[in-house]
Amino acid sequence: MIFSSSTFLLVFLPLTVICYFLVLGRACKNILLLLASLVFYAWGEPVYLFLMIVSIIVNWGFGVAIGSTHGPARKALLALDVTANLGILGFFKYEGFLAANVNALLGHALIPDLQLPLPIGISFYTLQALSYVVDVYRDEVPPQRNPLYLGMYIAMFPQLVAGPIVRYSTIQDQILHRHESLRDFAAGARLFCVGLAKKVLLANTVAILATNMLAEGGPAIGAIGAWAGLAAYTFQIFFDFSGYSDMAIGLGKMFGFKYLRNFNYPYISRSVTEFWRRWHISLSSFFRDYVYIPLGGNRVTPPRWVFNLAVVWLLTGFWHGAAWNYILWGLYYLALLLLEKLLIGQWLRRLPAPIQWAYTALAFMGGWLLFWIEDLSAMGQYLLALVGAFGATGSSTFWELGAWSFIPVLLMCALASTPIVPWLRARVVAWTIGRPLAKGTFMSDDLPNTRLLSTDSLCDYEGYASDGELSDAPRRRKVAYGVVLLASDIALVAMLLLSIASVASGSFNPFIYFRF
Amino acid sequence: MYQSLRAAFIACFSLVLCAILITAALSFLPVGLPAWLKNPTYSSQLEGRTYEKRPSLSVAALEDGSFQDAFEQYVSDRIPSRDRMLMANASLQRALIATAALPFGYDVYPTFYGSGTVYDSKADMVAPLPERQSPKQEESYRAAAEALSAFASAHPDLNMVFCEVDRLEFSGANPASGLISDPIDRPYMRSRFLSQLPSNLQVVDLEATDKEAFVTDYFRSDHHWNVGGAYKGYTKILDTLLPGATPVTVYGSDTWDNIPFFGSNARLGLCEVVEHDVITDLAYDESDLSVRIDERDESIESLRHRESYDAGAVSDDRYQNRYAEYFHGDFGIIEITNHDKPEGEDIVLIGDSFSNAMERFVAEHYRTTYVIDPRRYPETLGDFVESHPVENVLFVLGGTTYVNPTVISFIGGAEG
Repeated sequence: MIFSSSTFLLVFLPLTVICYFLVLGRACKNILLLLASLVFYAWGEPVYLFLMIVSIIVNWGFGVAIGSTHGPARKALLALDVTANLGILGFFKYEGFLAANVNALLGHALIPDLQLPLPIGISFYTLQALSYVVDVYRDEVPPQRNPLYLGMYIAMFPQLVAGPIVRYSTIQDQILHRHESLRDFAAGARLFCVGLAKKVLLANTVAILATNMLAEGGPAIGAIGAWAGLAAYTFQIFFDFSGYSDMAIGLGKMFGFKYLRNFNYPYISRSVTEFWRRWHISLSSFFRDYVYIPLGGNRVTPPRWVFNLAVVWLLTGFWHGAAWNYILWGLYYLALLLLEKLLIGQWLRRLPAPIQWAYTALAFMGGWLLFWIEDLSAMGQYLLALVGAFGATGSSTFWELGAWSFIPVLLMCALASTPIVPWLRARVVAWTIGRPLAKGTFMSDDLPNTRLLSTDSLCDYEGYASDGELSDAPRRRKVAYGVVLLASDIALVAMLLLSIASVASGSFNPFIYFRF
Repeated sequence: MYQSLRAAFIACFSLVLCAILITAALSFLPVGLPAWLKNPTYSSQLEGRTYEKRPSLSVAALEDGSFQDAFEQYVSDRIPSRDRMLMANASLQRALIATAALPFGYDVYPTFYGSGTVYDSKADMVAPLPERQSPKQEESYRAAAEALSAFASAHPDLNMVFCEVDRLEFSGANPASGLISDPIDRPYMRSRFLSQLPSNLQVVDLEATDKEAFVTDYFRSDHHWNVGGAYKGYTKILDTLLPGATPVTVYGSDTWDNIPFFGSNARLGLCEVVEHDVITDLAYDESDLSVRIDERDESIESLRHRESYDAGAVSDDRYQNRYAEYFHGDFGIIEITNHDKPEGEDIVLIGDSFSNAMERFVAEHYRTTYVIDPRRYPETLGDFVESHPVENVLFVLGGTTYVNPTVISFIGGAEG
């Protein structure tokens, strides 16, 4: 099941929420979430439900065993669990890729290509399960002795399909001691509306342009079509992915969970290094904490450090999909990060901000080109189109390209990629309660707490200003403040209705996580 | 303040998400729902389909995903005021597209993102996007011409006329025709299809002379011609089919202004034209006609629902297909007998829905007129002419019909 479907929005979610708040007791609520998550998963992948259950049982068993073992056996158990998890992931995700390449290299079919459909979300829930067992091994968390609770953590439907990768340490206390409140429910519902609108109204719309341009191919679309298509894909992947993350975090909040933030306006970054601190944060931090640092991080010799980075970026690329373009994409970022760290980083920081943004935008758009087009010859043609080899519009007319009709949506996407909304909100709040206005433009705004990646302030109106601060404000300003908040809620409900209308009308609704 | 805002928001959010659950639950209780909350029918005229019924659950259907797909559609179809919601969604997108079109000076733009139809804001007209030329399409034209040639050479004694109607997809009147590279247009179709037809198959090309002529003879929101266009087509055909014959004399027309018609292009493009189309019929002295449709006796009213329209006995669905409602839907075979004509000359009219507005005029000239929709007739044309003593064969087909593989088999099947 996917969030942007009528079944989820109009049947599964209302029923789950109603049942969740009707049942009493933490244990019952947790089991209800586990059952709902298994139904959610089975809806899309009934055949692979057993795989999910096997993963839960295996990791629960290893977690308990590691927690009650000492000495070398503990390490052996960890190695076994990691092998089991990676073995399952490797078999289902990479078997076809391995078969195709080994057989092509040998010239005969040594490995049969089983053409297994990829179990949805396997890359996400495998990493979650791994993080749990490794954390138990490191004594950072106690083992979860209740398999149902561990099952709820691994299979939890909000983040099952597209992340964020929630670490067990983040929610271990919340499994038994979370507190649901109307305040969190409202904040979560608002965030869910924002995420749904990002996915359905922005990502799905620009996806039409991106898909059309890719389907037509470089010679047919020329430079204008190629750049428009690439820009559209750049926004598609961001709003699709961050929309899913917002929905997941919002749903979690509705049920009392507090997940960490996964995206922090990555498209306002001024360097590739910064981009990766803001993009898919849960994945970057997973690889940092479970691969890069165990390999020695940067406290090693320079060649070893480069090796460590190379391992991380090869894995990052390969994790995204079993194809060469994803590996190329990982290596591309390795090269850019090394370039920034070793050569141009200092110099880049001294350049005017617009140039830094332009450089970073070009860099991540180049990355998305590698990520987007699996067929290397099609990618070559597209690249040629980007540099004008097929003229401005290729064999099409400018009208026919249709890129012009997407200009308002692309502009909306560009604005929504920046923290303009929280920036404006901060100004309204400051004006109301007489706080001094923060300096800087909306392009330099940031999360309130970048270190903790807190989501507390997201869509939580009560967090903007305390009652004390508000009570001192003049009445006229308080009314204005209330009107702004009310208008925000009306806009959110309108966005929800529009999103449902779009979903129900069967509009283009691509699912880009089938490779993850 | 926060508390009341929070409560209001949660209420709205929950109400929206639970709308289907609530309306479904209420439908089991003895309470009346307002009409706008109901999804009143089992089908949508706007979408031209029957709504999905509640799918039955089975392990096999769950495994292959067909249950999930059907359930998704079932839930989508239960949304209250679904038609209005679809139109509103498309209108919002069209507003964005129209804004984008302004700086470029485009009057013609897609009706929504990803739409295959365009809206011409100057002419207030909705049209399908022209198709681009392709080897596949060229092959279809070749196959259609071969089928017709095979039939014509097998029946040299028949008087045969092929009439190509001017479908907007291919017409020079299409507002987007000059905006697309290498479109399939009438010159292309002439060179690939009409010029390939055998000499004993006389051709009547009903291409509109210009956009103004097209707008006069065709609906602005539907792919069909109006009755005026059908009459003009009939007079041209008659010149070729029965040289020297006098067309029926028209002495007036009736228009039902109070019954709005949003045609197939408007429905497909989810775009209501500002000034809606209306159904018009011509007034002339009808002969004494009797009608059989698919082997059943029917009245002449079944070919043009004049009495129903006069009485206002029409569907109240805003998006009803009025063309089909006034004339009729597509049937396998219609047999029209003109009792004012002596036994003798008969004709078979092979037509798609365009012929629905014209067949009555043709029937004025023959004792028996058979109207066959080749997409719905189970036998081949060869079989038909073997079993029915017709002397004349008239094809009235649009460019999307005669390339249809079913139609090609119907025409060329027996000989092929």
